[in-house]
Order: sequence, then structure tokens, then C-alpha cells
Amino acid sequence: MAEAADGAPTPLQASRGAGRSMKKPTLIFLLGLLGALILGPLAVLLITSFSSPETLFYREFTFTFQNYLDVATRPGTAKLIWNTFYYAAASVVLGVSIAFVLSMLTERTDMPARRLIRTLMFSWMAVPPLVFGYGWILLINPGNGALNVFLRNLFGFEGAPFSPYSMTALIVISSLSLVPTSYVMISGLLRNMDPSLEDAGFVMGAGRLRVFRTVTLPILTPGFLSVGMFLFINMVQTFDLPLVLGASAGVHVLSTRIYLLASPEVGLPNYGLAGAFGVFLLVVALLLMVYYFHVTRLSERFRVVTGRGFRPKRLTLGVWRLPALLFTGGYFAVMTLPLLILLWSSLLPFYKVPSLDELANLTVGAYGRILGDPTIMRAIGNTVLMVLVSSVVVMVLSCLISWFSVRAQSAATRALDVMAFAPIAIPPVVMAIAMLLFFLPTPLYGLIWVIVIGHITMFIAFGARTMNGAFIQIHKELEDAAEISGASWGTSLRRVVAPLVWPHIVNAWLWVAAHSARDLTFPLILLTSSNVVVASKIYMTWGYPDLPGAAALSMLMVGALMAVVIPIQYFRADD
Amino acid sequence: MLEVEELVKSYGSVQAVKGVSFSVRTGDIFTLLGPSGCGKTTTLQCIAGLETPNGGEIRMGDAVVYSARRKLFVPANKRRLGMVFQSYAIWPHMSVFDNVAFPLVHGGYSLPAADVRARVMEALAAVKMDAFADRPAPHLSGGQQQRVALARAVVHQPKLLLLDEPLSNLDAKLRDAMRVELRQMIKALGITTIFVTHDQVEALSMSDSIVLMEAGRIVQMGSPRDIYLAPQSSVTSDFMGRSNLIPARLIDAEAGVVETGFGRLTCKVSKGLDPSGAICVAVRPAAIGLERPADAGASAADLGENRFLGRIREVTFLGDVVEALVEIDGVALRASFSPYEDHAVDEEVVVDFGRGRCVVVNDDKNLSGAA
Ligand SMILES: Nc1ncnc2c1ncn2[C@@H]1O[C@H](COP(=O)(O)OP(=O)(O)OP(=O)(O)O)[C@@H](O)[C@H]1O
Ligand SMILES: [Mg+2]
Repeated sequence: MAEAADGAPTPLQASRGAGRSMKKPTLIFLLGLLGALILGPLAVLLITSFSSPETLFYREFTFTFQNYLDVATRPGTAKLIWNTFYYAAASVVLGVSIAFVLSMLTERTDMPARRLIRTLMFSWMAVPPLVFGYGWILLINPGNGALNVFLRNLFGFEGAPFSPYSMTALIVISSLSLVPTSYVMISGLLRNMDPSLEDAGFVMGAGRLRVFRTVTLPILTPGFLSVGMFLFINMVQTFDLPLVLGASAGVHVLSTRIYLLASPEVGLPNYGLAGAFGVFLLVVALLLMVYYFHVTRLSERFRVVTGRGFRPKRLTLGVWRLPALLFTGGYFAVMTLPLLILLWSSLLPFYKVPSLDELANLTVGAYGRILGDPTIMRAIGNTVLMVLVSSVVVMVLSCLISWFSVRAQSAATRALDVMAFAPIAIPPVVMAIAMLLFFLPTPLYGLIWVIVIGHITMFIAFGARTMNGAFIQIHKELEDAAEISGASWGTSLRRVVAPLVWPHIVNAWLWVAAHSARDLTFPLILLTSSNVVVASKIYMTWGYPDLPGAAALSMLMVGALMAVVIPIQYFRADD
Repeated sequence: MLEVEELVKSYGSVQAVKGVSFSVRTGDIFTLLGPSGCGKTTTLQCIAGLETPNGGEIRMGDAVVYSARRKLFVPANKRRLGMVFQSYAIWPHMSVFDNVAFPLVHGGYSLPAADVRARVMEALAAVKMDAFADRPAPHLSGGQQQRVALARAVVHQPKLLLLDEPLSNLDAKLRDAMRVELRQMIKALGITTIFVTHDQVEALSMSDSIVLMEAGRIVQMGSPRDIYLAPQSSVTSDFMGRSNLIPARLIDAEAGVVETGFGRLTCKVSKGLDPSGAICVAVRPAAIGLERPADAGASAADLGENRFLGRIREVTFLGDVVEALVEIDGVALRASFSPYEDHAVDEEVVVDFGRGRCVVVNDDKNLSGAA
């Protein structure tokens, strides 16, 4: 046993030979992988944009500026750029305003049902924008949109009071779906603010409103600006809603124009022109991102984060309780309506405006039909595979990348950090088309794996950011202790680091999984008959048109995502 | 047991350790002492293998673990050391038992589970924590965490134990108790130990041998008594507790005679004194005797060697000891006396500098404020 006969401890015999450290090979692998994932497709995109239109560069490459000249001289280009910026700016302003009110209510007042509100906000990622957009079309299309019909019947309106097919409708609907994301970011800002700064204001005798105006707002302003900028960059790149709502109305933004050039409904794809537009959008997004970093660097100086977890005192709402509840309830009602109408449509063999008379005709026939359809079963199988593989790979890579950028600072790890963050500035449409061009000449084209690779590339930025924040909170000595104990790097990561950051890993994994499932950009642009996933299947079924089928598939998808997302978010959403 | 030779470590342009050499005897508690930022932690991390030095050599027993010349570096997880961190680094997601078992389970020993259990319980018993084995680690007090950290550091019987300020996270009372206990526990285990601290009381009470560092270099090495009583420079003297540093001029380096602002003093001469450099006399407050002139038994004209007339300017009653500010010919000095003696402000006293208790040292930092 541990004691030898003479009482002296028996020396331990090490059994393991001198293994080599895996750090360096891992770092080189990560650098190579990210470089290939990001730079490879973008290089192909660039080459395509300089090759003559309507040919494929790898068949015959002739250098030309034709595409860029086309972009510059097309009559619609100026309008397109204006549309893109106007759309992004207006939806961010509207969305952030609503989110600000809601987050002030749940973070700073004694609003009832705060945890429920937080849970729902954090769970909204379970609703694909595509589905949200279809819901609105059913609600307010000029012909038989449910809301329009109700208003006509109720007040005897002529025509349709609402229409989803306009810039204004696109902006309002986009901003509504932007609210949850903004809420997550703004409530984070509010939680991180040091309440003692406000207390200092009260102690000096200032009133609530005055403190809010003179202390709270100025402290939060840089944070708001950076949240606003970030969302703006996102909206400039967004694709799903402008495609579903805007494209039918002839309202185009850069992302939908690029898509239609690369996948036109009639005629041959014009990859050259799509490439040139893509490069243009990429440059715009990169410039915005550089500016964003400039602004946030400034705001870092203002940022007041204590991490001591003191929660500020909550304001008593008093007479404002009712208006606050009405506002919040109204928002949630507006968010739920599109889902309800989809549910309704999925339960009828043919779309009818909701009414009591139709209740008798409700049937789950559409569900039975789609579940019996082998192409849909195939799409579900593809989706599960795509979501699981891309989210797990993203999290493994993100953890490794973040470990290097937090723990082993050097020029190489900084390069890794920058590369992992770069996809934030790459519009998904551009990346998807770059991936399409990159894989077109290879046998991989048409496989679900190409979409998986696209998702991994795009979502690593989110994963690495989240894990950077998590690793910074882990005291380095906890890892040193494992190393001193003789544990290899891998063991220390698995046994010490990973368990400590587990909640962050689960959160980021959930986000990546949900966004991979709901993404339409990659599945649509890379679409072939063999790599259909649920999101692209919904799009195709809707366009077919098979409305009850599309609605039923949408409901299945939202239901499945919610079943995973809501429980996890509920446990997180502490008060 | 451990030999460090000309160790150099820089962070970018900052040289944290500038050529440090020392050797540690088997079984000793060896202390790296020095003010904040002097490079103690860096030195310890280089020994541990958690930092890669830029130059020098480190040997443990007869194994070279780092050598700049031979481009050799053994990583921390191959050095088989034990270490207690300043934050204790107890893993909060494991039980006490799992924390302590970690080096045995993941350190590359293939032990049967029963053997692991026996060794872990033995290590926990040595730090009196065996009753807490199944407790989740976050449910421990600071002192208990420290014991667990020690058990984890010794469970795999390392040849060398490294401690980085292990007491600094404890409150004052617990710290006093743990000082004695920690030394007893380490001595009972018989492990050679390197101990880092910036607290001279800890260093004096716990070590067999002390290295005093300053700005990345070693200032003095020796036993606690040597370091305290025979400082070799004003820096040592100043750092090792309160000390009067009296500016002086060397008269006779052999006999240790110096001329101060209030007269001639005969002192011990520190080892390696540079007679051509600036010097000062280091005297601890406790080394200065205060007597009433009436009791002194000498005439005011001739008080005898190292005795001067002074006046008490300030008295601070501290309980265990009373501190006085005494002025001799315009030179202010701190002296201390027992609380059972009675001296009042403005009283005239005979100040007695015990001959063996003042040391002539080089004033390397101009700490005495001499021009
Ligand atoms: N990772 C690092 N990067 C840059 N400089 C460092 C780093 N670690 C330490 N230093 C610098 O090296 C010097 C020595 O630091 P070290 O941590 O060894 O001091 P210390 O003696 O342990 O001090 P303390 O008692 O405060 O712990 C300091 O000037 C410190 O600023
Ligand atoms: Mg230190």
C-alpha cells in the first residue's frame, strides 16, 4: 500500500512516457483551417468578379473589369445601396427603441413576469425569420390577409389597410424580429452597469428621472451606440426577410440582388456580376466593421463593468404598471400572431381566413402528409445532421481558438483571433456564393457537408467571442494547478477548463444550433436535390405553392427548436 | 536538491528576473522574499515550468529541467512537483477528494483505485481534512481550502514543493496560526520546499534559509538570523522590519568606527562592505536602550562608548511594546522599550547603542537620506 514496511512512503513510479505537447500542432492546424475556410472561398469570389460574366472562371478565365463597370453604371445601383442602408438603419432604430423599453422594464423595474419575459426573449431564436415572414404574409396580404379581412368586416374598409409588400412593412416586420436580439444585448449592458454610480446620484439628492437622464443615459450611451452599430452591420447583411417579403414586392437590397443574380428564376446565373456585387457588399461590411471597432474601442473607456453582481434597486412602477403591461403584452401579441396564423393554416386542407365556422374542418392531415413524404423525411434527416455536426464542430473549434487567444498570447494567436472574428464582417450571402463557386468544380458540391462547412465558418465568430469571455473569467492558476499535477494539456482542457465554462459552452452551442437550423441563406444558395434541409424545404413548399404543407413544416420546426431552447433558457433566465 | 543558475526572464522589454543563482538543500524550507514586483513569482514559475526562462539553468537532483545553453525545457507536467497557488486554485466543480486525487489519476501514474483512495486519505489526514473528503470544494473556508491545496500538492510525493504566498489570502489571525502549522506539516512530510512571500515575519518564522530579492536580483542570502541581524545593505535592513538608517562617514573600516551627525559610533561591519561607497549605520529600534541619566551611573561629560544624551519627542503605546521617537543632536531615531518601563515625552534620556547591535552597511539606495 502507500506505506512501505519501514514507514517511508513508497516512491510513485510514473508509467507514462514523455509525450509531446499538442499545443503547437493544434495551433498550426487551427490557423490553417481558418485560413482555408475563410480565405479560400473569398479568393475564388474575387477571381470570379474579375472574370467575364456568364462563364465559370475555372473553365475559361479572361480578366475583365466588366462586372465592376456594370455595377457602377447600372441604373438601379444607387437605389439599391440607398434601400440597403435605409432598411438597415430604420429597422435598427425601431427595433432598438422597443428593446430598450422592454429591457428597462425587466431589468430596472418591478415589472411582473420578468423571468417569463426574459425567457421568451432569449428563446426567440427558435423562430426562423423565414417562418415569421410567411406568418406576416398570411396576416396582412392584400387579398385574404386575416387582419385585413377582419378590419374590412369590422369597419367596412375598402381595399386592404395593410400590405406586407412594401419597404415600410419590411422595415416594421424586420425590426420586430430584431427586438429579441437587441433585448439580449441591451439587458446585458444594463446588468453590467455599476449601480453604485446611480446610487451616488441619489445620495446627492437627485430624483429618479434626473439620475436617469444625467447619470444612467450618459453611461450607457457608448454601449447603445456599439449595440446599434453592431445590429446595423447585421441588418446590412441580412437576407431572409428581404427575400421573403421584399423580393415579391420588387423592393431589393444588396443581399437579395446578389442572390437573384446568382440564382435567377429564369435564365443563366450571372456569377461574375454577383461576385462584383458581393465584393462590393463585403467591402461595405468590412468598412463598417472597422468603424465599429474604432467606436467600441472608445466606448471601452466608458464601460463600467464591476462583475460584483450587485443588482440595482428596482423602480416601483405604480400607476405605470398597466401601461407597461399593455406595451409588453402588445409586443408579445404581435410576435405571436404570425405563429398562430401559421398554426391555423397548417390545420386546414386549404387556406381560409380564421373563423369559428372553420373550426369543424380542422385536421392534422397536412402533418400526416408531410411526415409521409420521403423528401421531407430526407430534409429532416439532413437538418439534424447539419445542425448537430456544425454546432458541435463550431464549439470544439471555438473553445480551442479562444483558449489560444486568451491563454497563449502571441502573434500567431492574435492572427487566429482576428480570423475567427472576421466572418462577422462577411455577409452570409457573400460567403454562401463564395462557397458555391469554391465547391462547384469539386465532387463535394451538392452535399450537405458544404452547407455544414459554410455554417461552421460563419458561426465560429459567435462561438469564439462567447468563449473568449468565458475563459477570461477562469483564473489561470486553476489551469496551472492541473499542469503542475502532471496533467497533459488535453486533460487539463477536458477535466478542468471545460467543466468550469460548461454553461457558456451550452449557451453558445444552443445559439449556433438554432441559427444553423433556421438559416436559409446557405441551404438556398447551395441548393441541389440532395442537400435539402427543412428551411429550404419550407421555402420550396411555400413557393410550390403548398400552403398547408409549408405551414405544417414551419410549425414542426418551430416546435422542435422551442422544445430544446425554452427549457435551457428558462433555467438561465434568473431574475 | 535544486540549483538555479543565472536565471533570466523577461516579459517583452521588462526584465523580471536578472540573473538569479541559488541552491536549495534537501529538506529545507527555502524562502524567496522581497517587495511586490521583485520577481519572486516569476522565479517560482520558472522553477515550476509554467514560464519559460530566457537564460540560465535549473537542475533538480541530477536532472536538468531547463538549460538555455542546451536548449532544454521540461514542461511543468513532466517535472513532478507540488505547488500551492496564491489563490489555492481548488477546482470548484470537484469534491475535496477529487481535487486531491487529480495528480494521482491524471498525472501519468497507473494506480489501482484502492491505492489512489489510500494515498488521498493519507494526504488529507496529514492536513487534518480527512473528514471533509466528500465535501464539494466550494463549501470550504479559506483555511480549509489552503489545507486541501497542500494535500493536493503533496499527494503524489513530489521531490519539491512550491508555495506562492500561501498565507496571503487568510485573515490576520488565521495567518498567525497557519504559519506555525504549515511549517510543522511540511517538516513532517520532509519535502524540500520553496516558499514565496513578501512578508518578512512569515519568512523569518518559517524558513531554514532566505533569499532576499529586489528588482529581479538577489540582495542577500542566509539564515533568518543572519538576514535579520547581519544585514549586508540598507535595503536588507530596511526590508527586514523597522530599522534606523543613520547616515555616517567611515573612519576605521577594520574597527568599525564611524562618524555620525551626533558623534562617533563603534559598530559591527557587514560582510562584503565596500569602504569606498556610501555607508550608513543600521540599528533596530529594539537594539537601542534608553536609560534615565540618573540611573546611567556616569557623568554627563563622559557617558561611555556608543552612549549619547537625547530627548524623547514622541511616545506611542502599542501594547506589546512602546515606541519612542528620540532626538540626539537633531538626529531623530526610533527606539522601543518595554511597556513596563516608563518614559515620558520631553524626558532627557541616555541612548545606548549596544556595540554588537549596530551594523555598518552600504547605503546602496540612499535610504538613509544622506547627501
Ligand atoms: N505576464 C507578465 N507580463 C509582463 N510583465 C510581467 C508579467 N508577469 C510579471 N511581470 C512583471 O515582472 C515583474 C516581476 O513580477 P512578479 O510577479 O515575479 O513579482 P512578485 O515578486 O511575485 O510580486 P508580488 O509580491 O506582487 O506577487 C513585475 O515588474 C511584473 O510587472
Ligand atoms: Mg507574486
